[in-house]
Amino acid sequence: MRVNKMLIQIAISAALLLPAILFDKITGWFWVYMPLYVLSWGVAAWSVAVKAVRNISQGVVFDENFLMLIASVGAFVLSFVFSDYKTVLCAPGGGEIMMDGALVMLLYQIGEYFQSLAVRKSRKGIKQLLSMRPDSAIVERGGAEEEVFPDEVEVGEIIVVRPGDRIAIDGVIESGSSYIDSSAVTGESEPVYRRAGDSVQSGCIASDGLLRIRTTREFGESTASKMLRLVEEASEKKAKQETFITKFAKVYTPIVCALALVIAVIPPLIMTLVSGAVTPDGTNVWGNWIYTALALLVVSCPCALVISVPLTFFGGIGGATKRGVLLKGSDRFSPYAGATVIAFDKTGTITTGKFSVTETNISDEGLRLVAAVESNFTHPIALGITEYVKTRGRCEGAENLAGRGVRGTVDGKEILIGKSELLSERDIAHEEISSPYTTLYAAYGGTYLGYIIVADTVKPSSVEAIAECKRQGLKTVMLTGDRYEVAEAVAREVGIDEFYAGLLPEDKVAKVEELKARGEKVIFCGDGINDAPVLAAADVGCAMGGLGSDAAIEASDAVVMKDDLSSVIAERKHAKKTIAVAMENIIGSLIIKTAVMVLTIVLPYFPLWIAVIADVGVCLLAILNAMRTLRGKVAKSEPPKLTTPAA
Amino acid sequence: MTKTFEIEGLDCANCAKRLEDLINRIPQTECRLSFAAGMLRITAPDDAYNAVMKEVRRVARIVEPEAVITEKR
Repeated sequence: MRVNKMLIQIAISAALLLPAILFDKITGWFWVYMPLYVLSWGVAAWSVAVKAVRNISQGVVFDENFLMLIASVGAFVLSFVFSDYKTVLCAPGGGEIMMDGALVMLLYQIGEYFQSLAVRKSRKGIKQLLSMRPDSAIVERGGAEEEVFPDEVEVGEIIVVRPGDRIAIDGVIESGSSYIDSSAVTGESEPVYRRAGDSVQSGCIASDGLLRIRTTREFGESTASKMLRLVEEASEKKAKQETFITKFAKVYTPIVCALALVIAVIPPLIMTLVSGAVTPDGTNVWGNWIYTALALLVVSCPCALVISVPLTFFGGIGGATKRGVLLKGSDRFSPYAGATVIAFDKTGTITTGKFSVTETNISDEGLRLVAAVESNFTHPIALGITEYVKTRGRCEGAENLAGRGVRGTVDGKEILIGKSELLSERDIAHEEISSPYTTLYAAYGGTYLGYIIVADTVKPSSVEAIAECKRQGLKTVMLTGDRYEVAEAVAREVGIDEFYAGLLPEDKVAKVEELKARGEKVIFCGDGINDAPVLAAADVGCAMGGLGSDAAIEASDAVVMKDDLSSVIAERKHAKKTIAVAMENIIGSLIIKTAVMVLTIVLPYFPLWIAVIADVGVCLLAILNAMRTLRGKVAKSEPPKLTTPAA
Repeated sequence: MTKTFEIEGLDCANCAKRLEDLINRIPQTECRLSFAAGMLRITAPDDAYNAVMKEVRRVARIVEPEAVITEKR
């Protein structure tokens, strides 16, 4: 039903109802108000009737359209059958039950209208979120720019991204530079500067510069497409609350209808047999009880639950996506929210995974010599040192000494950098530093220069994230393949409760299984490259740092686009909120519906139209409540890490 | 073959559920319908796909005449 058509229908029906009520209440002219009521009802009811008939032809009887139709038709029939023409119908206010019948349809249509609006609005919110994948790309072919569908671009072609455009395909910047807004992909609001040689992900926006990008993936395998596919598939995996609702709806409506039938027949039958069909005040008991039964039919629709609960979970998934966390299904909210232990991999998860110099007693001049040698190597430690030292000398004959260190000649003298043994072998006197981290010793021309300690540094956000885990009552555990000493130092620095070092990948799986056997519910955060088996073993496996390997995506329950533990732990709060909203909707709707049912049975002449308002109202409230889960505050980032543009 | 379709004008969750059931009753066809996203994913044999889609559109018209099904690129 198109929204505008619905609005016209509602307006006409209401315009007919108003004079009907006036003629009914004030003058009691039956032959004026009755046709007006019937017309008002008819205008609102025809589309409902069409739907009801169509569904019955498909074998669906207990359908909300049919039930509303029965309830409103029933009201009219009651008026005609049980009200006396002269004394009741022609007296002012005599058409009250007819008014109920017409109001039921009108209010039902108004409710449907608002429901449509609410559903459309929340869908629009979700769609907007999914609009991160552009429909076209500009590709350079034969010296000209051509606009094509992104799936027609081959790997290795050059695409042009203009300022303000969204990048369609993953690639490496060939030329140009720009600030990149990656908020749609990672939830990170701070733009980063990217220039030639840097890789960029699809879904991000080039804010201010023109980029020429050499694609490294096909469109379908690019970040934005993969994210979309995950989100789409996620909505198909139902949470247990959703499954419950589907089952509940199947039995709820028939049960309430059966109850209505019982109420319409049994009590009046007994009363008729005991004291006659007409009560002392002149009303007919059959009329009273049938009226009550009609009110029951009105509240028998489970729509509040059927619409709002799936919407809650979809909103939850949408909100999580906004914050850069891709949940694999609605069924993952419960274990996420209910976790008791959070386990981490160390390298690349708690730490940056990159080595950097943490301590040295070598002079700047000495470091210049060291860097001259190290700059010839690509080992992570060498890279860490080269990055630390800005200026470097010229080195000849740089050579790797098989696991003990490196050597080279700078300004005519030999420089040695490596383990303590390397210097001892050459009888160079040096100090011995005791540190859990990797310590290198350097000598130049046979004399000791000093030491350098390099370590895989802790991410700035890890300390706060782990503190937040503790505030949320989670036990924190670190599982690492690294040495005990290193693990201990990192664990102390970030405040981890428990750690296990020297683990092989299969040992990590065993540890997680052990925790689970103790009755703990385990979240595991790992990089997803070596950790796929552990990600699969944990109750909730979080693959950190974006859409890496397919195996990791397959094994995980959540993919965290931003390589930052704070996203994982912030998302747990939202998982809890999503579950809470779903429960509010389930319990709230059931309470209101039960209350209305009890009231209709207990109170004589509980007005039908109040039952409709309660029914439609609770549905709208539940939808509005569900939409709260779509709201997602983007995770606040750590101190801005803007890479300053190089000259 | 599996394709994804957008379905517009389907605003009632009950109807969506019913449509999903009806499509799943078509032989050799598997369907998943996400009401919240307005998305329909249909798996059917390649050679029967067009016939299946014709049937899908027919049942969709029964459930909700205003529903429009369009393929997503």
